[in-house]
Amino acid sequence: MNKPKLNNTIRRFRFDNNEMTQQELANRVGVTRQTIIALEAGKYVPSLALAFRIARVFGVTVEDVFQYKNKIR
Amino acid sequence: MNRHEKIAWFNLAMFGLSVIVYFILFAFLSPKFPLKISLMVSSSAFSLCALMAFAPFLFRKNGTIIDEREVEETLFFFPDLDERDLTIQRKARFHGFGFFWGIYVLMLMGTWMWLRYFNPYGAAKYSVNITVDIDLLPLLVVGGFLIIILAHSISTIIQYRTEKNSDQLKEDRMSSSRSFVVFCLMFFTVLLVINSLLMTKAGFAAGALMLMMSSGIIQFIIWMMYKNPGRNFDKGDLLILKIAGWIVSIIFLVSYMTACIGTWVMYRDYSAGAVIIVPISLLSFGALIMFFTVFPFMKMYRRSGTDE
Repeated sequence: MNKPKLNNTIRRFRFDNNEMTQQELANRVGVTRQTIIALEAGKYVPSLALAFRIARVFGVTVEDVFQYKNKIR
Repeated sequence: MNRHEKIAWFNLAMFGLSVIVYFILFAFLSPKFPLKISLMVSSSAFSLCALMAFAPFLFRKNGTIIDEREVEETLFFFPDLDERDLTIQRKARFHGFGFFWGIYVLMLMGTWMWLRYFNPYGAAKYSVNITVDIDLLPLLVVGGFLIIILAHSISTIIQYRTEKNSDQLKEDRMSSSRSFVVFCLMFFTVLLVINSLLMTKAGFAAGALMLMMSSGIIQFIIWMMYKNPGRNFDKGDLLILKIAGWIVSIIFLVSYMTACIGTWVMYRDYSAGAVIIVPISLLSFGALIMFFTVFPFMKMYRRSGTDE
C-alpha cells in the first residue's frame, strides 16, 4: 500500500534568508510561531495557500520547500 | 502553552471544581434531608461551570489579529486563530458534538430499554405508561452542554499535546481504517445480541422489529465503508465487509418476516382494523428500508466481486 510523506526544508530556507527567525516567518505568512514549529517538525500539513505563501516569502517554488514522496510498501 | 489549550484546561478545572463541591454538599446534606432533595440541591454545584463562559475573556490576547485572511471562523473574542488552530478547533468541535450525540442516544435508549423491558419494579407492559419528570428536561440540556464542553476541551488538549509525526498525509474527511471497521462490526454485533435478548423479554415481534431496524442501520454503515474504503484496505478487508453485508442482509430479511408474522399473531384477536393496519404499516416500513439499503447493497456486492 502507498504511504505518502510530506517533507519540507523550511528551516534551511530560513537560515539562508538572513537567518530569519520563526516568529518573523510566522508574521510574514500569517500564522503563529507554534504553527511554524509544527511545520518544521513535520507534525502539521499546511494548507495549499499557506504552502504558497511560505514559498513566496523565500522567493522559491512550492516544490523547493515541500517534497511529496509516495513510498510503496 | 497555547491560549486555547489554557482555555481547555480552565474548562476542565471548573468542571472538576464543580464535582468536588457537589460531593461536599452531598456529604453535608444527605444526613439531614431525603436522598432526592440532597441530590437536587447538591447538583446546584454545577452552576460553577457557568464560569467557563469567562475563559475567553480571562485569556484574551489584546485583540491582535494574526492574519485577516485566515479570519474565517473567528468569533469576536478569538482573534488569534491561525489555520492550524482552526483545524484543531474544528476537529475538537466535531469530537464534542459527536461524543455528545453518542452518549445522548445511548442514555435515552438505554433508559427506555431498561424501564420498558427490564424494569426491576415490575414488568412494564405496552398498556402501562411510564412518565418522565418534566424537571428532568432542563437537566438534560445542561448535561448535554457539559458533555460537549468537556469532550471539546479534552480533544483540544490532546491535539495540541500529542501531535504525532505526520508520516502519512492526513485528510480532513474521515476515512475508514481497519480498526474502525473491526470496532463498528463488534459494536453492532453487541447491538444485535441485545436486540435478541429483547426478543425473549418483550415478545418476539417487538424484538424482531428492533432487530430489523438495527440490521438496516448496520447494513447502511457497511455499505458506506465498502463504498469509501480506507487507505489501508486490501481485498481481504473488502471480502470481510462483503460477507458481513450478506449476513446482515439475511438477518434483516429473517427478522422482517418474523416481525410481520409476530405482529399478525399479536393483533389477530383485536379489531379488524388493527389486524390490517398494523401489519401493513410494518410491511411498508420494512419495504422502505429494503428498497434503500438492503437490495442496492446486495446488487452491488454481486456485481463488484472482490476486485474493488
